[in-house]
Amino acid sequence: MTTTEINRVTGPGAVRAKARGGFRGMRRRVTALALGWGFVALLLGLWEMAGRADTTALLPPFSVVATELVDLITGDALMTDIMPSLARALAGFVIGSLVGVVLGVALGWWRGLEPWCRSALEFLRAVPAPALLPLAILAFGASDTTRVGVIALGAVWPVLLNTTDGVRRVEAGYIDSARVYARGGRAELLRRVVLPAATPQIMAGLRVGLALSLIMMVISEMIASSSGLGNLILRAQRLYALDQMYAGVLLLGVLGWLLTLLFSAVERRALAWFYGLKGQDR
Amino acid sequence: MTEQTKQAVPMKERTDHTLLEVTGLGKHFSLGTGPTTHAIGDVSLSVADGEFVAIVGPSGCGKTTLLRCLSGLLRPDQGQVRYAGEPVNRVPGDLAIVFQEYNRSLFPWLTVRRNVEFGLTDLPRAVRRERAREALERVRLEGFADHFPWQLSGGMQQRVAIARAIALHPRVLLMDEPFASVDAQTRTALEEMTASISAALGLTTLLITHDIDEAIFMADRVVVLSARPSRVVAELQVDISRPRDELAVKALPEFSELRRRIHDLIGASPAAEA
Repeated sequence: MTTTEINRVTGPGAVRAKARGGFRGMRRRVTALALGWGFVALLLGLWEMAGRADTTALLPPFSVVATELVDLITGDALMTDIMPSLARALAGFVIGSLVGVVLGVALGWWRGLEPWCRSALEFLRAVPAPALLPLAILAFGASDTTRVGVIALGAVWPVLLNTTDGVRRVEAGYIDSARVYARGGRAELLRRVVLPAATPQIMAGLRVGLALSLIMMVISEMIASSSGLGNLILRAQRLYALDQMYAGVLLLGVLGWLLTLLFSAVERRALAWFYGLKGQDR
Repeated sequence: MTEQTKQAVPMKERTDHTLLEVTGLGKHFSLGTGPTTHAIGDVSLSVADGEFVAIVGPSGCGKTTLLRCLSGLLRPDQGQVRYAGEPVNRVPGDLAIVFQEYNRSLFPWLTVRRNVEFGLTDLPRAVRRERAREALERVRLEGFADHFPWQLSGGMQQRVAIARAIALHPRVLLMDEPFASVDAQTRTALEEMTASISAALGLTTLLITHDIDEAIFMADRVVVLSARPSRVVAELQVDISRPRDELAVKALPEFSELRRRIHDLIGASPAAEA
């Protein structure tokens, strides 16, 4: 039997993945993108009109806020507020993620730990992290370390719980294969099979953790802080600088959107196999 | 590879060198809080070095459980498994398994090549590459090394699984219903390919299947199991010369005779417990 013969026998369309995408898929994606951005433009247009018609000065038009936003990014606020905010959010996210992944793997791997930790974890995760902020400030001072700590505390739960679940629910067939073909024992099993298999769920946890990090960042900066975007919004409100207040909110939205976009790009690279496996069109 | 390759040795000589031996194997299962299932009653069998043995039995007769006990993946409740004279406590290093569900046994995050190389981490990179190339060539997938398994059809994925097994340069190859999840045409091609690979590499092969034709076509000896709790009902020698051609073999009177006998043996065994 020749190569072509047996490869033919094994089925037409054997190499399916390459056929996906193509011209039609591309056109569909462009259309979806155009519709999405068109709707955003429509909302901004409505904002602009409402802002111009507003006589109470509570709603400045979009154009005014956008100008203020550009001023923020190009002015002193970049270094005094925006960058510190981003640094805190990212530091908190990274620390929370690391702790979450490490503890999550431990809990998923050593099942004997679960009965011990279950109730405590259920309780701790039910406590909203912002509620701990006043206590943290009292105990550790109104410092960046405290804020980063509280942000990490907010991000840790989704990462931890998803990682535990992902590690625990690795396909039994993968484990069998590993026991036959990976002879290096438990550590090798964890590194070469369990962690890769759990990655999709770990990433799902990280995505939620990232969003929570931004929320925790804003909250932590609204209490006992003298810098950061959360503080900037609060300052602007107290000075009745509504243009700047709106610009701060808009900037937070843009930053959150950009970070999610960046995260999605990383995720698509890391999980290319997963999306291919699920037959999802990217 | 070449130094391991053995030419077909006459059956009488082979049976003198038992490689895998099972004595009085029994296994119970309890699924959750439900009643225990008596999967394997009392199974004793031996596989000689270089022999191709097929184990057939009615569905749900604990064939897969038997294979898992044989390979060291599962500990039996009673009896003993000896591999090359040693009791089996874990999967022996020169034993490879091809599982039924290729989509749950190949790693989807690794390319075909890295899947095939998976068991070879102790070897230098160049040797690994060479082994993978050689194994993929044997299953005629040399052009697909950089694909992911899920980009291939079912039959091709199962060939990747076979390549992963033979890349290990195993002495024993265990196969658990390896072709049950592929379509009929592909199945015939895979049976022929696997039988010839097993012969070319001089592997000791144990095939678990519910397909009587497949068992006779591929094996030197067919072990027939009863329904749960399983025990060995009969062992039948398949005296058909190799290499075997599927169509020619199935036209032989010996084939029909064996097929009828095995069919009767399976049908006559007591019905499976509820």
